[in-house]
Amino acid sequence: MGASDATHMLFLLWFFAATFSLSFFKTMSNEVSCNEKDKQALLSLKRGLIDPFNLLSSWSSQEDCCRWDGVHCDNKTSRVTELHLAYTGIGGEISRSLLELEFLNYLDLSFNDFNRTPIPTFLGSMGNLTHLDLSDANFSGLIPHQLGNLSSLCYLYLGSNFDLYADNLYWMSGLFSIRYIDLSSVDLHKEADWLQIMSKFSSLSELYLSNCKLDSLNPSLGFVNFTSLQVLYLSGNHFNHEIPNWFSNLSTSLLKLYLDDSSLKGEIPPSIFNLEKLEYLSLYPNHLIGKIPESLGQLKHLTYLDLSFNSLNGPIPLSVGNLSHMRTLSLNQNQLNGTIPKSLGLLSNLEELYIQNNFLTGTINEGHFKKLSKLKDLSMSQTQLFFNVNSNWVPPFQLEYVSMSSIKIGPNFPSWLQSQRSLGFLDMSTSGISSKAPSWFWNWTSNVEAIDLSDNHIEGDLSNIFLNSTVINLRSNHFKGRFPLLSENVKVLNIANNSYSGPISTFLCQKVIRKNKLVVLDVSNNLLSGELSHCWRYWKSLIHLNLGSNSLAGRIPYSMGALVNLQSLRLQNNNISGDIPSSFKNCSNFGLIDIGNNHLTGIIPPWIGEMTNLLVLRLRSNEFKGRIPPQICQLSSLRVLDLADNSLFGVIPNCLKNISAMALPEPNIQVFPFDPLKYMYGYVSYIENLKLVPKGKELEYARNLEFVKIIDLSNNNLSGSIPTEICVLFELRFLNLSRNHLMGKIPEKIGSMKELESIDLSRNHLSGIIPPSVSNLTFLSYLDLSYNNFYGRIPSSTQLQSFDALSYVGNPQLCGDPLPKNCTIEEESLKRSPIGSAEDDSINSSFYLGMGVGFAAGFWAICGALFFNRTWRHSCFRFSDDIRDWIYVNTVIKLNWLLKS
Amino acid sequence: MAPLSLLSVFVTFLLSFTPALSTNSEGNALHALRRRLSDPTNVLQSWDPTLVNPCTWFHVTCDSNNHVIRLDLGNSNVSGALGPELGELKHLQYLELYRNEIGGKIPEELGSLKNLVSMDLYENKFEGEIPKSIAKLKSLRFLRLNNNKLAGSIPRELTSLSNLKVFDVSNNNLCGTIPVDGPFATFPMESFENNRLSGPELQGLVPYDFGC
Repeated sequence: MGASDATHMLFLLWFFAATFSLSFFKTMSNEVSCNEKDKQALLSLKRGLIDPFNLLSSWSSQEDCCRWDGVHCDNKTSRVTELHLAYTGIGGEISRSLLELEFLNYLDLSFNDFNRTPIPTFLGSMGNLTHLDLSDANFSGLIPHQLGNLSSLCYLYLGSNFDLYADNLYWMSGLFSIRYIDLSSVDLHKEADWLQIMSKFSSLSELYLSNCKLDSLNPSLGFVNFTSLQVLYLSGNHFNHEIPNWFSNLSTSLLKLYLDDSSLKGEIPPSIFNLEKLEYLSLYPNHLIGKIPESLGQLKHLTYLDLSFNSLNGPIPLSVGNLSHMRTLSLNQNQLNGTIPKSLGLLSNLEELYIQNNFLTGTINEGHFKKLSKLKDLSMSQTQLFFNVNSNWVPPFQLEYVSMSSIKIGPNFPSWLQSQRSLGFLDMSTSGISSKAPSWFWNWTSNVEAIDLSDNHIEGDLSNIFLNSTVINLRSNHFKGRFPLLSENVKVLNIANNSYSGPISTFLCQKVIRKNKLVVLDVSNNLLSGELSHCWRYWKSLIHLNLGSNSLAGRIPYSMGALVNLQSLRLQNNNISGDIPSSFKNCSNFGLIDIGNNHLTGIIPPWIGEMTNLLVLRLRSNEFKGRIPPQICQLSSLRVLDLADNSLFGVIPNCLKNISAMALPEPNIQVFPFDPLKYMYGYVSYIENLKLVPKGKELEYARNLEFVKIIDLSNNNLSGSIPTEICVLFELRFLNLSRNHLMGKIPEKIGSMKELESIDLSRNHLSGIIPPSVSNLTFLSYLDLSYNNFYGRIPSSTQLQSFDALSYVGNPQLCGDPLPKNCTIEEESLKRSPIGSAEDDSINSSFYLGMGVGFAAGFWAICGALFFNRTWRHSCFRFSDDIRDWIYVNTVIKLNWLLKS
Repeated sequence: MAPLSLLSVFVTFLLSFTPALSTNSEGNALHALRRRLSDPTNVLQSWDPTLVNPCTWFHVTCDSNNHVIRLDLGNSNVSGALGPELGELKHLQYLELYRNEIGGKIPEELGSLKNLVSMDLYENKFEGEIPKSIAKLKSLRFLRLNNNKLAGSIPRELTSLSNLKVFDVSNNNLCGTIPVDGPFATFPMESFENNRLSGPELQGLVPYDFGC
């Protein structure tokens, strides 16, 4: 939805821009008539171009070419001087006839699509050009050196073509008049001297080299001497070193410096703070460490400072109060500590303050906001600050966005909020508020679009309260009573983990809430009881429903099938019994079903295979009987299959290989028409969580759930063997088939499931050797093969020997590290080989023999002379013993192998 | 534009409805590690910086008290360097970072991983010296540093690691002599080959860092 909206918006913007730019220049050139030579040149140009939107329709032979869209002529000579063809969507071939326009000084072909063709070299012969814009026009290949002949050029824009590159930039030295260079996204990694070349342009005032694959900010020789540079944009490169000191050479000119996302390391050098004219400084996100220097206060003209997402520590400098022009201050996501300086309250122009996710401590009070009358965005969440203001404080600002999650605000309710009339977003979750919300509060929230007061101790009864916010999160508080009254505006209501009690039917079936348009309803972890209601027809807009961890009983009513929009159904951890109703067949949007930990019986219905959008199926800990229906393999998007702890019997379907979400890598772009694991609304997201047992221990997955690929069929009565086909589930991370009656061998190719982090096959009747391919599982961090009938040597790998013996016990014929039992000759079914290369050891035995002889000779040459030392002697012989054994064993094995083959 | 988009990303992270967990130094340490590493194959994709409890991150394993006990990133195509924060993983038992492109020095701070059983940094690009602080890891059983670019001598302090069962520093640039005391009496010569080591130690005769 968002993406298509954005596309529409872009298209509209593009259209307006095109129409505007074309008509604008049309009116400008009203009075002149066109030169015939220029006209023919333009017509010839048009013939080569593709004009998909017919925006060059005015370019026809009948009219005066100076009145054509995008064409601008000189008033006196009536020769064509400017071509403005940006945003026209044109492509095709740029004709050499352009050279006939001998007075052309302005050429703008940006934001078009030239289908990855190279930039025409003849553009370098247009000696009058002062302005050349080819940015974002889908040109590719080498930038022609001929452009260096454009000695009058002032503006060169070649950015955002993504596939352009330059082998060097020396050709640019002829651009004597250049003032503005944009080579963003041009691959410049071959040019080590870019800094020298650029700094020679005496009139260069703006330089844009973001995402150019530059790897050094240090001059290759000499020093850097820009004379009039005002804007320097170097974001998205990979400098991987400290910020150099030469920036101080720009102190009299530089206004804007962008070094975002450039892998910069080390401390912020003091030289940066000599840039006395600096207005914009952006250094996020990098790997900067150390303190923010007190000399920050020297940058008197600074209006925008972004140091976020670094590893800066120490306090916010006191001198921050000197930055009186500051509008945006972003220090978030660092390791800043100490208290907030009072001087912050002097920044009378401050509009946005972001200091969240730091280790800041101490109290914040009225003084810190003394002059902040323009403040709109305030974010200080995830710090250790105490927001302690007087209950009758009237702040000087009107905030629009407040994020104060995980700081201390309470126990009293923040009454200053009442003065805020423009607030759209309020997050005061986990802030220690424990008093009742005052009577004005709920009425006041009706204009706040999203409100999050979760994880506090707020008491209250919302029974007769009318709520109007789009997103309301009151999770983990002490609310009770009846369901609140909701306007049609409310989309998300999270009242999980509160004290709502009584029968769920009276809770959900009140007449007054029948017109709700809720999309997300989470009432899990309350004290609701009784049977699931029959009024589901009033909740048809629901997409996410969580009634888990209450005391609900009875069957799942047939009427629940009315929830046709539902993507996520959560009824886990109740006392619900009976079958899965057949009405769920209609719910084709189901993406997540969690009805685990109940008393559900019957079979897993075969029609579940028709829910092709299903990502998560958790039926764990119920009383389901029967076989695992093979239809389950039709669920190609399934990533969580948790049927553990039931009474399922029969075999594991050998079609599990068809579950492609577990077999194929995730596409980079989410292709789901919807995402049943979360609901996003603006800044806020509701994220489904799920309890799984990936490595022998229950874990709650929330935001990471989208990456989990798990099959858990443990603790059933499954029989037969492990289907070998399972080995193509290359993306599977967790496999648990323990506590069944499985027989046969572990599939030989289990090692091809490279992502596997855990394998639990314990307490079955499996036999055979542990396949050597298991050694390839370098991510394996949990293994339980105990209590089966495996035999032979445990293969060796860094991972396999890192587990303790408990992973292997209960297999009397298994031997080798880490079991205390050594392998006898008979059990030595696997050759000894270096770690991790169990399968590719194919060097023949003569190599070892030769190596042994050579080594012995060299060894004695050194050893003999020093033979008198006792320790040395011992280790010497021990070593020669070892090497002899090793040569012997390897020779025998290799010979056997050679004889066999 | 860029600041805005990133802002919305972190805001989205911050404001999800999942309850925030208190600050977890182990989560922060791992997050810092993630930021130091380049991860072309997205192996660390699940290391969500806002989830300070890292137990649901892939390649991380916790014990029943939610302390990180394993880090399994062998053969995962990561490059970059390790940092001092790794020393915060006080309960770590298995540090498996083998077969990657990790460079730089082995942080001194690994010496504070008191519970470490296995340190596998082999087949990387580590340089500098083997930190002496490793000798503080009394539970260490596996220490494989082979196939790196480590220089200097083998710290004598390592001979006090009585539980050390597997030791491999082959294919580095180490110099001096090979210790012979403690567990070093049992390690095979392959564990030392392809270095500039000048043979087993001659205690009292030649300094152990002879030839360095």
